Amino acid sequence: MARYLFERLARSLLVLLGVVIVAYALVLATGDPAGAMAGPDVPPAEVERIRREQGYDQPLPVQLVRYVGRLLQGDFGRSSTYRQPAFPLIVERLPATLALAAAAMAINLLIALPLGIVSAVRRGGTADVCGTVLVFAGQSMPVFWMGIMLILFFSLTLQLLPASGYGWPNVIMPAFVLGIHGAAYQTRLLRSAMLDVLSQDYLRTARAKGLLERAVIVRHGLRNALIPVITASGVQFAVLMGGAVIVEQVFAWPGVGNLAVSAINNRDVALVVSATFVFAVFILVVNLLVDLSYGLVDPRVRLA
Amino acid sequence: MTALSRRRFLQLCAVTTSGLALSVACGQQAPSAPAKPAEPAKPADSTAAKPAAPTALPTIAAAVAPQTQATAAPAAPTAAPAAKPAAAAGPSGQVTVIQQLPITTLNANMEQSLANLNPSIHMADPLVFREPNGSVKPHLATAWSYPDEKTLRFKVRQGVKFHNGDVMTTEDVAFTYNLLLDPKTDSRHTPALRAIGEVKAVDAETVDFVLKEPDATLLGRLSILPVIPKKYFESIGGVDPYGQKPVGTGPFKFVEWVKGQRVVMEANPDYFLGAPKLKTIVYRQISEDNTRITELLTGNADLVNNVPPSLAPKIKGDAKTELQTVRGLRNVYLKINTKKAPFTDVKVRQALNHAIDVKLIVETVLGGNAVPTPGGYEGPGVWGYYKEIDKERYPFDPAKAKALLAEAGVTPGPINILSAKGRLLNDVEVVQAIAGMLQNVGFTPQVNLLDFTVVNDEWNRKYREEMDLHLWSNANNTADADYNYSTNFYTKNTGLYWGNQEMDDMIVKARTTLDTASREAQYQEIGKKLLDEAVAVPLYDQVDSYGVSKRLKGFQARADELMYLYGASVEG
Amino acid sequence: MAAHEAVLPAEAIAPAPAVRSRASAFTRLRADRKGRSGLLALLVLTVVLFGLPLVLGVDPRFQDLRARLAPPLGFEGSSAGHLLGTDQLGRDLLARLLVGGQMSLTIGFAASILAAGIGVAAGMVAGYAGRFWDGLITSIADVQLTFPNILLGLSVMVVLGPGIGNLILVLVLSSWVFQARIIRADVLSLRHRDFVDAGRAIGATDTYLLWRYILPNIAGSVLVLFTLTLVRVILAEASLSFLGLGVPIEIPSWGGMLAEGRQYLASAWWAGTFPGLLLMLTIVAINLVGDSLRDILDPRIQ
Repeated sequence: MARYLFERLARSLLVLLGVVIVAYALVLATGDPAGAMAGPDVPPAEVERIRREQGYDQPLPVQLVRYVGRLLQGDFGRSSTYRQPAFPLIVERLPATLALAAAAMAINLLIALPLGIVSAVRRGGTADVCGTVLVFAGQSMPVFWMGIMLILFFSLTLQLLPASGYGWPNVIMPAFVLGIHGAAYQTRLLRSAMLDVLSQDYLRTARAKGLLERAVIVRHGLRNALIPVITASGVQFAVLMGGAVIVEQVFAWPGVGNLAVSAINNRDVALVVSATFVFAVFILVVNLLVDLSYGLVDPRVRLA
Repeated sequence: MTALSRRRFLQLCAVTTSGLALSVACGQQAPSAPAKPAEPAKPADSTAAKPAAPTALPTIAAAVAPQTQATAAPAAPTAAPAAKPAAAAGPSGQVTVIQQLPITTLNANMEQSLANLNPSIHMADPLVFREPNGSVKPHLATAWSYPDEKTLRFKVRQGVKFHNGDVMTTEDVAFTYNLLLDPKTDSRHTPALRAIGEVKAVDAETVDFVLKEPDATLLGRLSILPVIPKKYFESIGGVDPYGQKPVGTGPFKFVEWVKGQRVVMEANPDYFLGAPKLKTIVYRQISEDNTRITELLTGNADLVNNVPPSLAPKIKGDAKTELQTVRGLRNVYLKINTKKAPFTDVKVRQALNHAIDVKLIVETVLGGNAVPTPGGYEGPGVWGYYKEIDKERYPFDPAKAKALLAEAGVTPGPINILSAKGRLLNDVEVVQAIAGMLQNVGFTPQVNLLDFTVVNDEWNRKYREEMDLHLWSNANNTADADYNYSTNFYTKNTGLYWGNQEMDDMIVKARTTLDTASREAQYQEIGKKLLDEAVAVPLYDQVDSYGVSKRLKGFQARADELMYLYGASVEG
Repeated sequence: MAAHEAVLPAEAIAPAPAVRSRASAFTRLRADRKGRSGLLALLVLTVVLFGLPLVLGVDPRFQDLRARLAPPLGFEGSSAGHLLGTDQLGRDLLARLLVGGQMSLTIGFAASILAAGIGVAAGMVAGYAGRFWDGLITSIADVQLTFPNILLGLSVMVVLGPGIGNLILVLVLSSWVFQARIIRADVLSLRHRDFVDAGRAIGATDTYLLWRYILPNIAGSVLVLFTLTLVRVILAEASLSFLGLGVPIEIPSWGGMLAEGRQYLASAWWAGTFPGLLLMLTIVAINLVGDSLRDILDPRIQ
């Protein structure tokens, strides 16, 4: 167990390193930030000067080594857009993304739980088909379309909710859009797990003992079916932490995603790498927890 | 495996996730409710200068004549509000401004972005202030003169205080601009100040800009570079920290900057031109057009910029808002790669001009939010613009275009058009419309849309040099014709497609001529020559649209995209 | 493009691998309500998208600037000959929807098949060939997974330039991991099953075992995963086109139409809504088929 943990941690660190290197290289491969920093209407001599000063004229491997070297000392570099250390800029946006992710998860589960149970229990029935269609529709509806439509309806026409900004009740609409989007997976997951559980022998025993069907489903079936759902929720939360970019843009939600996109557009290397790093850490931590929980919960899966 | 039971595990998960959700929910900040003023603001006479007729030459002309004093009176503040202590209550009311682009620093001297300049210019003052019509008037400087061709001398106003109580002196002025001359400061304005050698504080009242070469455009440039307090700047730790917490002499004081959410500033009652009428200004940013306009229409914002033509009717139709449009200083045109055959032939370039129906594009795709400029690359808002800007030298005539191509012995074939996307008003549609029109005269156009930074990047110069046509624009920050010509038609500067030694000489001569009349004539010559050679396809001046709440009084949209609120007030 | 799917328990997404006959899968698919509706919808869609343009002779490229943003027939201000209205350059919306759909489906299928091929191969190798290969492939997959897709898309498209081939490359790159992970889990659990041990005992080589023993039993998973990948890829293409990194601008695509229609949602809603509706319809249909397939192939359902 300890050896497994150690191996996983080592691999995670390597993955982090890999992610950082790839991110840095990719951003620079599309052109160095000097042009973006200089802005329009600036003579090429000036752009060249910026490039030399920031060190972007060095060959890529040299730049990489230098960057990783500084990174290992904890220095993520300076954001060229904001002229400030990059990492704190990302970190100060984390609470907003966290809040949005949590709210989205709540809505996600609110939809997925009842729908998943019903579609499993009454498999093939009307509720199953209709529910599935609705959920799939929610997943495939373009995110910005749903967002803008909600704003036009609830903010402009009905004047019920604020269209943008941070806080309550501003979080309702963006969380709803994100929640619906992810609900499809959770529903399908729960449905499958419920089906799995419903056909088990011990449930048959419970029924044979004369328990009410509802008690059977809820007390014995649901609890076990929830395990994969909970672990998947954890994973989904981590993904949401990466920043739901389009939603943050449409609703002007001050999260990480918003920042990351403009960083990419400006070739702000330090900011992009910092954001990617934070995102990667979340995903890796959750991956590890999930895999660990499998090993604990399902003895069939051997981790070592 | 360990002996953790399923039940225990489930409980653990449930507890952690609900705990997490709870802590997050409790930690959310409540939105700061806009403070509705208790006392109604008393709007005195609006002090916003009404824009003069666009064709009037700016008063800078008078000031630039060598050996004369500036005509502006030295001490009397010319723009003081008529009723300074009239209102019983002091400054009151809050205005929320929502911009499209984000604020990256509150030190306007570092970047060229207007999103930064808009808040900064309220907190710090420049030496001279630009009027909406482009002319320049005294501000922190009371007068200026040219003792000789290579010296620009300012008389600095006395007794003006920074927000932290320090008095503004000529030391601060010299410090501000010497800082900008230093390449280590890494300001985007440095190249534009290349004519300045050094700035010296001569005495308590005088500052000299020692020039390396004459430059008539300096005053315009200085009007967007405010003065920074030297002592405070050094005490707070330099450029980067100053941009987070600025201090200046401006009508408003910095309060807070919550990144990604808002910048807040409040009135400076000791402002040297009199306290502003507004108490608080809040800046926000929303990039999505639909959302930004919705916030205006629901009353959460009082002023928004960059209203797309598709949403303008909603603002006009609402009783509580109005649309202000102003012909901007951004001119859009189609660059031609004149180094690549067949565009080396002037007849082919003229054919291109005849092939494009600019009026139709302006009317339909841009919804009227543009003014065609068939005669050149700068509109009347720019000093030195080509007077025949509205005359169609090459009117829309596809038949003539085809004939010219035949004359030149050219069979129209594939043609590449490059454009950045999302940078200009409806640029994606405009470039496709142009492609469609080129197709009508026989070309097979291929449109390449790229991210703006990629287009601008030297690394990807191949895109620029391999393209045949390039949709480009020029925003004239200084409202002086030299800006555009130097940047786009001067071969040494940006490696432009078209250029030759003769034009280079003409441009340099015009820039360094201090006699206004002569300079003006030279610019007319330049304009005519560019048209004769059909160096590019001139298209239009963009019209900027602003959504303004009727509760905001005294706001005037400006051609230079500055949203200046010193004279503004709110009612209710 | 959700990364979390790849770490879900295999059984939740795809049926448990088991020895079974696949002959009756199609008939059972047709019998199931969900599968039937999904298949029907897909069939109608394909016929309309590929057949209707031939019949109508429509031109998605023709610009008529004066007739821009005309509403669909039946609304006030509509333009004759444009059933669903026109877009912001006066081009016929119906024509663009049809041609765009052809593009989205073709690219979607091509990219999905490629991604499936790579993903399954990688998954099999990772699950079967031992700890080293497993570690290597999983590490690569991890890096890929934790990587924001926007960055990947932007970089590849900028470096290689726009074009359909490069677009497919980006789509394949961002989708193979999903399949690989699940197939790996399947193979891992199959590897030690009795019948595989038996095969090994009688002297079968690893290759033989992979081809004849393991592959047939993950076929069900592969099929279901294919439908899921198809959904992801079509949505991903729409997102990339939406960001301007997908199909070149002259070629209509649903994603591109969504992007162009975005600013008109409050005024000329049809330009941005119809592509979204068609996209949704396609995705729902594919999902229904995939869901139904999974039910059928699942041994736990009686």
